[in-house]
This record gives sequence, structure tokens and C-alpha cells, in this order.
Amino acid sequence: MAIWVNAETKLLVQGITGSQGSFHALGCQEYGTEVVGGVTPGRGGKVHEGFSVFDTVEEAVSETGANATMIFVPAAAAYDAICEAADAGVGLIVCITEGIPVLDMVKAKRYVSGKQSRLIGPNCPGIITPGQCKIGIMPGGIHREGHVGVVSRSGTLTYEAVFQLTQLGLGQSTCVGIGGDPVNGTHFIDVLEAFHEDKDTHAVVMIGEIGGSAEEEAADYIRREFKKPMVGFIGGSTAPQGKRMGHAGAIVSGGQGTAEAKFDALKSAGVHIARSPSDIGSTLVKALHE
Amino acid sequence: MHAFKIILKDKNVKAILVNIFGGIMKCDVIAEGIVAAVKEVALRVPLVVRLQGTHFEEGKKILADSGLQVIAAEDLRDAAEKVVAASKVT
Repeated sequence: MAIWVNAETKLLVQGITGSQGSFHALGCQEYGTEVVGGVTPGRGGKVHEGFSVFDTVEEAVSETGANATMIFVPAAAAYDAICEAADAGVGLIVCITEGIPVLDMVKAKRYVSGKQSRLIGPNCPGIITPGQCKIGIMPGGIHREGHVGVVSRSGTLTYEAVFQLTQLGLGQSTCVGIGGDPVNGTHFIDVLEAFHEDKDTHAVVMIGEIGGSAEEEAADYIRREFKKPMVGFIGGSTAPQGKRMGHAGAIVSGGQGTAEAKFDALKSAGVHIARSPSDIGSTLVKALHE
Repeated sequence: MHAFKIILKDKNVKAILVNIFGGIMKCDVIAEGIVAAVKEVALRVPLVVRLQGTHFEEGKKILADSGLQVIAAEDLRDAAEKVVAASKVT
């Protein structure tokens, strides 16, 4: 069953004629995702790498029946791309683009919330249901079909966790990268609620990082509602206060958003804690044996 | 390359670890960059490289074929242990 993407997903790529859009459109198709075309304004009617190109998302949706889109347009154009996809009624909008101005994201999020679309990202690796559908830039080959849900603010740490799980023989139901920006479309709690409902997800790995309070809010939700075994890791334990660690949202400011506080919140909610990123897989094995 | 120069400005640095799990970045591109950078900056400390993800096999081959003194690591723990060990030798 998995969440949000499956073998029925029909994917568009916004910015398909760019180098990244092009490379990853082919990567998703190679993995088995049904990529039905792309959008680059002004290039409508052309064929790029075998994909039909449309001028607008609306046109692409009516021609192809796409129900998901992956956005690779430059940061300055991302706000428009997100709104255009939402206006066209695309159910799932996955925004890979990094560096979108925060104020643009505040507006984009507000805009999408009034529509029928779910926005994942920005500044994220995307979402994958192994063996069925990959939307994003993650290396498909490290995944395996199974029952562990993965949700993360960090791309590389997601790959790291998935790689360990697969090596331990634990496949994944769906892996969602929610992105490293301070304002993002989908939160930990949205993903956890979906995993809670999903019968194919038997356990969950959650990877947070310093900055903000998303992990603490997720911990409150987990304590109240979430009963499946869980492992949590928080990136940035060694980060000095006030130093932005790679992601725009990853900053300890005014003593708030520290890794310790987040580890404590998750632990008190009953989540098994992995102190080192290389222990994520083995910690889940322990959690499952309890 | 620029990153190596910045790191090496600190004379206390005894070893460098490059850990790449390539998603949007392709490991062969990274490996070519590492080879060029090591030659350019005349690296004076041990270098441990862990490559995994997109094109990691090509990347590892580029490093192995370069003839440079690059210590290859398999996973994150292996990489951490090797770079700590390497830093103690010098």
C-alpha cells in the first residue's frame, strides 16, 4: 500500500530541459516511475530525451493525466512553479529546488494549503516507494521493498539509513525527504499520520536535525498517537550555537533547537534513539526485537 | 578543491575525510574533483574517501586508478575509524 506514491503515479517534471531535470527524469524513469512528460515554458511541443514537453502544467495534465510533479526549476522561479502545479490540480508536488527565498515559501505554502495538492520539500531528495515509484534524486538502487517507513529532513542521512536497513534485510514501505528549509510543505507529523494509517508500514525511522521545533512537535504527536516501533536520529549534535549547518533551517538560535533537546523529546515519547548515524539500522533491529 | 584549501589553512588538521552519499551529486564527478584537488593543493595529510550512491563504482575506480594515496572506506563507521587511525600516524 505504502503512502502517497505507488505504481499508479504518473509523473511530470517541471524544468525537464535543464541538466538536473533531464538527468533525474531519466533516473526516475529508469527506476520504473511512469514519467509522462515535462514542462518548460517556451519549449512546448518539443520532445526532450524522449519526453513530451509542454508549455504549462495545466496543458501537460490534460494531455497526460499526470497526478504528480517533480520541480527542478531555479529557485527564483520555484514559487510560480509550485503555484502553477497546485492550480492545475496536481495531487502531489515534490520540490527538489534548493535556495528558494523563505518569503516565497511562506506564500507558496499558504497558496497550496487552499488547494487539493500536497507539497513535499523544497530542498529535499523527494519520495520513493521501493519497487513502485521514485520521485526525486535519491539513488534508487539502495532501496528494497518492505515495511519500514523513513522520514527525514536530510537527504544524505536518509540514504545512509536506507542503505543500512537494506543491508540488514529490512525493506522500506515509503521514504519521504521533507527537506532542510525552515518552511516546508510537509511536516514530520503529516508523514507520521500517513505511516500510522498505512498497513504496509510496520516501523518507522525518523531523522531530524538541529533548528526549529518540528522534532519536538512530532514527539508530542508520537507520545499521543503513534504506536509503531520507531528509531530517531538527530543530526548536528556537535554544532556550535548560531552556526548554520548546511541546511537553511539547521541552526541553534538562542539555545533553542539543540540536538540534545530533540533527542530527549523523542526518547521521552518512547522512540528508540540512535546516537550515531551508523547505528540507525541496528537500533531498529533492536527495537523490533522488543 | 576550494574546500581542501580552506581546511588546510588550519595547520592543526591531521587528516581529511570526504564522505559522499551521492544523490544529486554523482560520485564519479566527485572523484574527478578529488583527484584534481589532491594534485593541485599537493595534499600533505592523509585523505580518507567514502563514496556510496549514484555512480559510486565509477567514482571508486577513478580514485583507485589515479595512483594517489587515497584511503578508501566502505561505510560511515569504517570511514570514521580509518580517518582517526590515519590522523594518529602523522
